[in-house]
Amino acid sequence: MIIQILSDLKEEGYLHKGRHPTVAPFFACANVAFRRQALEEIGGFDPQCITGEDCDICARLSGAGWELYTRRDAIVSHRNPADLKALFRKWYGYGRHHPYVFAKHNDRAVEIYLRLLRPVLGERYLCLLYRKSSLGVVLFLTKFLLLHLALLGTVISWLLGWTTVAQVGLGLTAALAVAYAWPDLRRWGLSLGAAFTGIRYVADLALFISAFIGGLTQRMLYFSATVD
Amino acid sequence: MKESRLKRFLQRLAVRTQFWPFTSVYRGLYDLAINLCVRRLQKVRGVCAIYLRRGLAGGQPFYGLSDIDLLVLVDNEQHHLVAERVRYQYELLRRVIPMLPPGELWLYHPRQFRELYEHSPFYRNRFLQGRLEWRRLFGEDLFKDLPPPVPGEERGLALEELHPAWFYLAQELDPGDPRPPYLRRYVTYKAVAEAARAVLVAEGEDPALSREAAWARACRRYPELSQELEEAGRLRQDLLSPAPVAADPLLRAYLGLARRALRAGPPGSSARLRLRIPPLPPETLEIFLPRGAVREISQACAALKGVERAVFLPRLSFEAVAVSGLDPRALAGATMDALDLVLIGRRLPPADELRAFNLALDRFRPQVNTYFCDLEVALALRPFQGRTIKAPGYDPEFFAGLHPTTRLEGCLELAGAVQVDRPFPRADALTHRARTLLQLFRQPETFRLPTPSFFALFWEAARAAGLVVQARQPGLEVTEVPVSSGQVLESLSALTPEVAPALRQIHREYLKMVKGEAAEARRYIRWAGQYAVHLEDLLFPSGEGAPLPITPLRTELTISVMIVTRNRESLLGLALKSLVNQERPADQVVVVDNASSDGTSRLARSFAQQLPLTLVREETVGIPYARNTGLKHCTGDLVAVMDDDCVAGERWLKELELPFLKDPHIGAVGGSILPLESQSELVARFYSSRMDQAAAQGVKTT
Repeated sequence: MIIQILSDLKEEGYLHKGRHPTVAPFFACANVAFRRQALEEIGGFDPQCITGEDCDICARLSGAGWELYTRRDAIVSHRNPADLKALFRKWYGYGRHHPYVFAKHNDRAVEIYLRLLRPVLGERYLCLLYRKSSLGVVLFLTKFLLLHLALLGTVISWLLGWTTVAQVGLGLTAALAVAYAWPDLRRWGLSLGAAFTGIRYVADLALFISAFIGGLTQRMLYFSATVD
Repeated sequence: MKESRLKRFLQRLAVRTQFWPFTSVYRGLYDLAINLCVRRLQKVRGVCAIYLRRGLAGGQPFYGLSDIDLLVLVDNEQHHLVAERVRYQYELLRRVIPMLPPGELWLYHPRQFRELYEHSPFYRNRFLQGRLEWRRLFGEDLFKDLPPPVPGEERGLALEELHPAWFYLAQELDPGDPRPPYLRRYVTYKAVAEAARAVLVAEGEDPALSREAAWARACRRYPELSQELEEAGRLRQDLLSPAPVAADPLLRAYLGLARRALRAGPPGSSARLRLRIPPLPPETLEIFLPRGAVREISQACAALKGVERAVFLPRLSFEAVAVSGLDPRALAGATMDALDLVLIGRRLPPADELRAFNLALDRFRPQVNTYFCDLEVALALRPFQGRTIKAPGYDPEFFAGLHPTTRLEGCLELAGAVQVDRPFPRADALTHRARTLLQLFRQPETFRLPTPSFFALFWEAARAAGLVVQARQPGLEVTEVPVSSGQVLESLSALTPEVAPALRQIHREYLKMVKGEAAEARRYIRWAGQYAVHLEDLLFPSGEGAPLPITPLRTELTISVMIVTRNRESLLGLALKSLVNQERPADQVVVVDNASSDGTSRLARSFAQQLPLTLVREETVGIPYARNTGLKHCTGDLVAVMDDDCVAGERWLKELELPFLKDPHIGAVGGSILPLESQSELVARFYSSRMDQAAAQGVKTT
């Protein structure tokens, strides 16, 4: 998920701002305290941010010169979506409304995305960004996306009759599929791991589809899919 | 571990390739790293100057082995907070730049810098070297307004460099040291070269001598040491040789240089000293320690390799030792602190033996502290070992400014020792000491509990302050220095009657504390801290004792908790209940009902008895609308935001509040989010597993 990628810091302490004010690592709004003066200074929450308001507000706070601080001992327990439908809806919502946040903070944060090459829960993101086009395009090269690109390539080359390429593509797809499932399988064993992979796939799919739709409405296409 | 192995590998590579095309590459890399550091650090608000010091700035750096040592000046009201931020940035940089040494960042406030420069010869020495060896990377010129150095002082100060040099040498020659041989060879060479520089400066050379030049000149000038010096020089050329460093020639070289340096000596002084104090009798020790302890400790000392002498010394200042004459009667009330055990030797004992020794001594802590004293000091004190000595080359000021360990040793040998026969000369140094100590009390977090050190510091500060006041009075010579806390109480009460009652009370608490009635003493601790601040104002009025600018922070903030909810009747109850159970209760709880159609608001209202509840309704559906409406109704200084399907931990608000109290620049504080337990469905389990992993990695999740 995009927001998680932006979270940057592991230990307790001041979050470093980097060179760009918007690289602000963010706090989820389920567990955060603001100085009221700071909130009023930046004008409260942005009503257009249906989701990702946490990302937005932290970016604006640090842009206005306030320091952000993590305190890991302040603990809140969060209830999780209990069925597949709720899960799907939740990730759909994230994907649908995040492009707005991206479009909003994109002007100042071209290089954010290039900094994102960092492992989160075993995933590694590579991010490509084309700002020059009328539709800003952000492409997160995740395992999910690579898997589908490889699959697409295989199908196309098979249709065109390039057998060798299709075979290589098929092998690549299989390898990527294993890589996609591997963290779950290793941690949770075969049956539970497979189930989790399935759930993850559903969530990724929801995020991907909704991000595409949301991106079109915001003229800010981004391809992102990873539920970690 | 992995990282350090990589660093070692790179280092070895650099050491192997110290010739033309590569050195310029290394120089480029170093410049790049320095630039990165400066760019990053100058972004921190409040940083006003950055300097590069030591080898890289002035001397001839050995690329790969030289570290990047930085000094940062922080000019800000909240300078201690900015310092924390700078350190944090430094730690981040250290992850990327292997040349940054751990914990070697110097951080000062400009005023602090100036004070240190003016009051402490030790620091003046460091900073004067700075004039020659520091390179300004960013910000204002530090040395612009500083007074010029005292003429002739360089010679005395150069001698002090013998001390760290000995320390390095002792460490590097320890066969148990885990560092790779090339590094040890390098540092060993450095230590001897420093000693060479010290002796040359003491003999009147220009202090701006580089290490290499000093070494070469010493080789020419002292033919009797040439063999040993050559050995030291060879170490630099054969960094790659695996042969162990030969200890003896190096120690001989160092000793020879140190002896010469001391003969050239600190600048002459007219102080007359008559040294006449009997050695400390064992029964005096038994005042401080349990019976039989002395024997036990001496046995532990005897088992330490490399230690040649161990001496006990009550922790009293130079003057105290001098004046009291270590008379057991005078010492009986001297519960001020503790006994120091000073170990004198040629090198630091091996680490495992030290550990065993420390374990053996743990029984007697905190009454017993150990210090290791080096060859240099033993050498420095050799002239005073006799009973009655006129020491034309001996300057008590010289000892006064030395490193604490060294000063201790000065006391020790003089416990053989001294009767001071001169006017009281140290008002400035004492003012500085008293003020520094008293300022400690402005930071209440320093002293949470009535530890012995709290009271010890208090009494020491009070004593120093009293001495200053006494010394300021015209025509009065200080002839007697209070040793025990009781004496301090008496002399201070006589000087300033208005502080007497409070001092008496603190003294009473102190005695309780000494007798082990800590629980009762605890009540007064905060009060004593406040009193110390008052004492400071009283004794140093009108600016000369003015503290560094520390604006008082608010000790309490009010918190409003905001919860936005929509049709979550089943879950909201749990969230509100968790707010009732907070260790630090909320000052206001704002529940925003976002156009719910079920009994949500009724449920919220049922908590009105237990919580300072404000119920608001917002008809436009959407979290940001609801949050903005809630924000308008919040009255607290802080707004803590929480979801309706969450349960807060008991310490939630307390933990969130702490950083805000610490730093007025903080705008938001976030905590960790963990999965709620007791869920069995597959999807929920999947989600929990994600968040478990995330929490383990310290990544926050939504």
